[in-house]
Amino acid sequence: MLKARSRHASFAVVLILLGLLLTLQFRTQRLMTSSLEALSTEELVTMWKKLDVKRTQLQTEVNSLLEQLQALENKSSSGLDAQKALQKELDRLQLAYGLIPVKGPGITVTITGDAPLLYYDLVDLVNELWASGAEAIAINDQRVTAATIINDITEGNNIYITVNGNKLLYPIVIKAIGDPHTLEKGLTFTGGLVDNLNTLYNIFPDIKKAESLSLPAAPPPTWRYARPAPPANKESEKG
Amino acid sequence: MRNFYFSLLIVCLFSGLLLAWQFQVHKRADGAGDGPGLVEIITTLENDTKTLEDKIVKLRSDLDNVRKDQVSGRRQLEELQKQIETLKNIAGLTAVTGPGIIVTMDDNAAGAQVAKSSSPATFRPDDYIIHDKNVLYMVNELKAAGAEAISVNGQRIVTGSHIRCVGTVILVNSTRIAPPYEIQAIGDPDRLAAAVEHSEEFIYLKSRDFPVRVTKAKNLVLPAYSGSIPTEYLRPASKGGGDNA
Repeated sequence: MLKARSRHASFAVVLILLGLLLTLQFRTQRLMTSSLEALSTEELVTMWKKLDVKRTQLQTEVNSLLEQLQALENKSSSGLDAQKALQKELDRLQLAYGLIPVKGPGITVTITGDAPLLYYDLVDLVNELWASGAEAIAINDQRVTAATIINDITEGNNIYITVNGNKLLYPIVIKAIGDPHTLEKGLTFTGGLVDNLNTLYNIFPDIKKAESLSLPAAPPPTWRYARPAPPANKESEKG
Repeated sequence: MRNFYFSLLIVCLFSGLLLAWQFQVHKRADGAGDGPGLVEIITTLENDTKTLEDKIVKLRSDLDNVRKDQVSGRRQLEELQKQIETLKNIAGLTAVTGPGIIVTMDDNAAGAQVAKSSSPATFRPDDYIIHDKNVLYMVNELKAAGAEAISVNGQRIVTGSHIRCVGTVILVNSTRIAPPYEIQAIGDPDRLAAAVEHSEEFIYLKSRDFPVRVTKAKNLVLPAYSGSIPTEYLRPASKGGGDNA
């Protein structure tokens, strides 16, 4: 009797242990894909570099915002200075959001009509250019913003890539303003996007650096469903 | 009695196997990290950037309050401030609210378990996880369906946003995000939901048994973009350009 009971007890212990192990294992597996521990040294170094760049950019942004705040607070008496500060901020937002034509150095990416290009490739290219530090992008002289729609339509046997509903004619020229060297490297590194386009899809984009590119403005988006959220934490922040 | 020993044997064997597997996973993780150095550096950097982002969001809203105080009663300035606020809204620099949908995409963990045990030789983990492209193309589908504002795991999608990966880790606006991936989009809920359900991306993931689903929502709140707006190389074309009418 006693023997049987201790046997049962040890069996229970083994089972509990098994359960624990199983959960631990599943948790480990779950963490694997998104945790830093799952990355190779090379990938970790890439991540480190990206974050370092990001931190510098964020610090620059903080400094510029602090500067604005000080300028406003110090010169509260003069209407002219306040107007200047406001105009400056408005200009910067218009510049970055695409509401005015812009110019600057950068690169052009040209794709000719014989390439078996899909609109996904264009989505990839634009995504890669933003990731490589592009400050403004246009596709065949249509400025790309958050509201830009890249898609395709089928007419008969032909599939046309469209930007905001307009059919794209070849050659497709993507202009990106930013540091020309960084932008070019961002696309052409070994195993990068252009490398993949070459080897997997037989698409050979022609990439050229440019000293001065001109990009047109985009129309402002219209909102029918979205509206500014009421400031939820304002009270607590202020107090 | 014999039956009992037999099952005990099986259980022990199984736990032994599990233990070994567990150790292997740990070993792989440690070895890949090349010591704790890099992981620690990255974690510190992530904390730094988070702090800076919080600061940016606070500064942007502080600036608005100061400007509002200063312009009150001055008509011309009030007009400028209004324009700034409108621009900040459409640029994604403020939180927005409205109806829309939530698309949830998760790794196919169940499928991976089955495939791994049934045919370990041909098992490819890559076939069972959501990749950066799945998220990127889904966001593009939502834009095409008229989404007015989008966020991915709390990261607002703005003009210069990018969705990429390093190894198996997905980064949105250079910030690491983890599964399940939740894309929130403000717009016409019916139109957005229909577009997602008919999209190549959604159909493909469903056919491979990935846990993906669409939920309509009456009232979503999307956070403000907390990153930088680089304008180091950008110049207005009208200033000094000469030929811009």
